[in-house]
Amino acid sequence: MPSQAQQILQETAKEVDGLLAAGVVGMDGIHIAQVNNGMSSEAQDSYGVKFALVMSLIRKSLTELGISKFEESLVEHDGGWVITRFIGNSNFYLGMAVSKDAVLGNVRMVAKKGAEKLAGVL
Amino acid sequence: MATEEQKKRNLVRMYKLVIEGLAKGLYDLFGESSYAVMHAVGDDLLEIMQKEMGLEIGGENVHEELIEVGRLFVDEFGFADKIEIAEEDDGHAVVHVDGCHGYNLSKAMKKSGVEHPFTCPIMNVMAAAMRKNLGKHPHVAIDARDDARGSKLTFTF
Repeated sequence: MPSQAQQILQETAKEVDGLLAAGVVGMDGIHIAQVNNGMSSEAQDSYGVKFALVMSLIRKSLTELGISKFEESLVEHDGGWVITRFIGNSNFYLGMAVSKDAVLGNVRMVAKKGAEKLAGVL
Repeated sequence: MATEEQKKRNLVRMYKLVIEGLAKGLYDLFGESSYAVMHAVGDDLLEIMQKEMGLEIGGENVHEELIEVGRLFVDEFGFADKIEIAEEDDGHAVVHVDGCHGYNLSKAMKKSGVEHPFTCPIMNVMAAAMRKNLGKHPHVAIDARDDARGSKLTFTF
């Protein structure tokens, strides 16, 4: 399972310009697959943990508002974007950190397609 | 007025209540991701054990790390009566903790709705040691072992 996820993630990451890092992360914050393109692995691990908490918190908040399916979150910062997307009904999410060079629409589309492929192996 | 001994017991009880309350709050908010919160706690505990208390944790493989951290929790902290590796292969390791001082707290947490006692310091320091010393990032799980008044810690790689 992790090696299949790694392969899919690598293929997905190739389709994004300006990619800094991408990961498949469990809700416990542990990566099962990761691609790194300029971000230190310590920083990526730290991102994985913190965004697991962010995703959990958003999901819980939306559930309490009666929204049953939370799919994606997008964070914009001065250096780019971080997109995180749940993978099917699994307990994993796909995260991508990209620079401002990336085309946001493309990143979102690639993340959606990647998450669908990953859902088949997780 | 309470005796000094009673004050100490009351103080410990109060700390346990605070931990129980914090654990419940975190678990209600984050569910399974509560484990993620504990990465930082495990890292900090490991650093304190190594730097401030001068305890040496530097195994060269998973087996040695688990044995070493387990030994410290038994011999230096008296946190448990016995800690041993029950199963081990390339993909996972299972550690049994017997006579754990956190057992009653874990039971109280479970009663309040915290399914898994993710605050376990033994589990979190073991995971932190593997991350820091071996570059391994295990998924962790903890289950009660009532017969031993302890727990089963599972590390999956």
